[in-house]
Amino acid sequence: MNDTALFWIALAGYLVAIILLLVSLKKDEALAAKGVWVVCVALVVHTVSLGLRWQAAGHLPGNDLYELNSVGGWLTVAIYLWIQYQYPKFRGLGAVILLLTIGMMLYGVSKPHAIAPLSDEYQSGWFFVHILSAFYAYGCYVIATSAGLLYLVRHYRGGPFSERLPSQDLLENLNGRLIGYGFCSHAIMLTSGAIWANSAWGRYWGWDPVETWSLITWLVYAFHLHARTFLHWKGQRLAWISVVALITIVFTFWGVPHLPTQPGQPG
Amino acid sequence: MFSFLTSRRIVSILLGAFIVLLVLGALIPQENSSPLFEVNVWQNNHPLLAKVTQVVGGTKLYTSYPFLVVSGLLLLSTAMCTVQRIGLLRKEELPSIDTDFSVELSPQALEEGYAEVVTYVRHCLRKHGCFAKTESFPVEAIVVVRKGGLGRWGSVLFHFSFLILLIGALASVWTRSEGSFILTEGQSFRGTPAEFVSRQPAALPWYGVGDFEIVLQQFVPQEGQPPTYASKLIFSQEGKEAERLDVRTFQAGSYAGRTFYQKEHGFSPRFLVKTAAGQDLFDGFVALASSFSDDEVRYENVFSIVEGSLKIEGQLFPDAVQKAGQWRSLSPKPNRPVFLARIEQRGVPVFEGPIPLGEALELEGLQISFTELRYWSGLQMVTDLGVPILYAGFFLGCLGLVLRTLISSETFWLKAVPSAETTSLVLYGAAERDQALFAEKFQVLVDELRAGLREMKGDTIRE
Repeated sequence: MNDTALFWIALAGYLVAIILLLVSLKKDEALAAKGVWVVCVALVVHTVSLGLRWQAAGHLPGNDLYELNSVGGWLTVAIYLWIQYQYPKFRGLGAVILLLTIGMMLYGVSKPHAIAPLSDEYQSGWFFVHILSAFYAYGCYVIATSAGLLYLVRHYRGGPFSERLPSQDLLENLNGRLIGYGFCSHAIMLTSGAIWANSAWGRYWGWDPVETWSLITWLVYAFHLHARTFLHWKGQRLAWISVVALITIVFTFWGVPHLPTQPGQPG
Repeated sequence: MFSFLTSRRIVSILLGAFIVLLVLGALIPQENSSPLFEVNVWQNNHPLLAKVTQVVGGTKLYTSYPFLVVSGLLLLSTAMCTVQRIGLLRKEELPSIDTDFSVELSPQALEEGYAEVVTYVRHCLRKHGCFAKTESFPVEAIVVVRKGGLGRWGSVLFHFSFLILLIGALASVWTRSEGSFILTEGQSFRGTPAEFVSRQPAALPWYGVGDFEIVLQQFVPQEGQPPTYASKLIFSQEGKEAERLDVRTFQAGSYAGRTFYQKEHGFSPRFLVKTAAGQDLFDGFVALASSFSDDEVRYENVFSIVEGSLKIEGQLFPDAVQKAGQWRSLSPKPNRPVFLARIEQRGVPVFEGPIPLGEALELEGLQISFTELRYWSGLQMVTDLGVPILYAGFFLGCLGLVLRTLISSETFWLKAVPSAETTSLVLYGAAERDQALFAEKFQVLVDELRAGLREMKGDTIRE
């Protein structure tokens, strides 16, 4: 079985887990534990898929959008399971996280993904620090935004469904803490990216649209942390900022290549 | 001024303004960072918008006054906040007793003394990475555990790193110089102004070229898609070989504070021009300019040999074949080099045709030979004293963030609380932030204590 087949099996596993986790919120709470177990098994399959890819390509997966999104999805699910282990009350959160993860993985697999040798510019240790910290950051941000979204669901829509979700305080704390972790990793990403660019192209910062947008998203999260810590903002305001911040990240991936400032665009 | 710049509201406003300026910079092609062609295309496609942005300085945003003022104020504010934070570190902030989570342990057991219970609580706390130590505390406590104090240094370090980054950026602006030179295999570069094309001289009178000699020992093209290249360089100082360095595409090399990048390459054919009497008029390499398009690479140049009143114009085909009267190259490898020449003598065309490697062309009174073919390598040399300072700033910033986000201050303390009937032991906990998550953690600890104490003393916990 090749890595792509295992990738699809893992994806199917995540989908089954979403259904179980959603049903557990409506009906049977015991299903939630089963859902988490399905996520664990799917993550193992996903790990094997990435391992096979690594073996076949001869380098860490990170050469194309398929590999990058697969590693990103894997890291997001791994962080979710770690949180789940630390704080068992966050089961319902898994459904939103897995939904966003599946979206990320489907986007990656829709792009060309034949195994290719790593081009010279990527053959730098700093590049791998750069992409791993990027995806760790994005994993944290995805989970933080999921917590923010559930906070908003609880805030705007009451009823028994909302009652089964973790408390608003817990969701707000998780949102803030994971944005802190992501922000930290994002800083490492920017730093390693600058060092990598300096060793490859002779400039550590060139104000090109991708790196500028990456800085913008980092600053948006800086604003979130600043507002939370020093302006004592709480609740839905912070939840909304985390949603907007994730949109800026999505824009970095999908929107920036179409900007007139991106080389190759007709304007 | 100090209180204005350290105002949290002002910092938030500056941060917001900085984000807005960056978004504008990412949306409007910048003359300093985007290719000129892209800027022109955008300006032609959006004439009205282009005029407006030009008038307000939007096409040179990163060097415009609004950007410099906002970023300068932001950095200044961060510097002030760092000073403020160092001051705050001296003031120890201890948790107040009424902001805690508490659980009452073993009222019955305490009639027989509580040493055993205290020992067990210490043991449980230790298992959770909390080590008790004797220290003064505002409330009378039997056991006090405080951890995460280092996290507060993280915040200071993070803010401090911005100062380092500012110093690094200024050092970079004043000392950065960029330029390039080309070397044919076997030739040397001695740093004379004639050899070096300066693209960006340093603002300070800083001699960025260096007093060493570089020899291009070999240029090595490597197979692969995309193909890569390496320049094998030998550095000498005062006539002695000092270091050998391989500079590859996207993998720079450094020597004596200068960083070298592999930027371009091409071919240098060697021509020998002799008179009929056997006198050498010219013997040297001529670097041909490389121009890349989607389907081919062209190596061409025009040069003059004054002594023979010759003007030679031509194109090199490294792996030449002739099809339907047209010359082309099968690959970029120098398998069958042919120089397709057009030669003028005293302004009159005297020859037009191919000269294969190793062959000579006889003209009236002159012999022109294509004797050898070597690679040339174009290297970019950068000197920037700000880079190590910037890296130090980056490192300190990341370290500060790691400390700040991974370590947060938590306190547990155990207190004996006397009542009318007996003395109770109460465990308290307080966290600097994320209280709801801390409550979860506290609950795990309490569950463990409950189970352990029940085993030791029977049902002993009251909440």
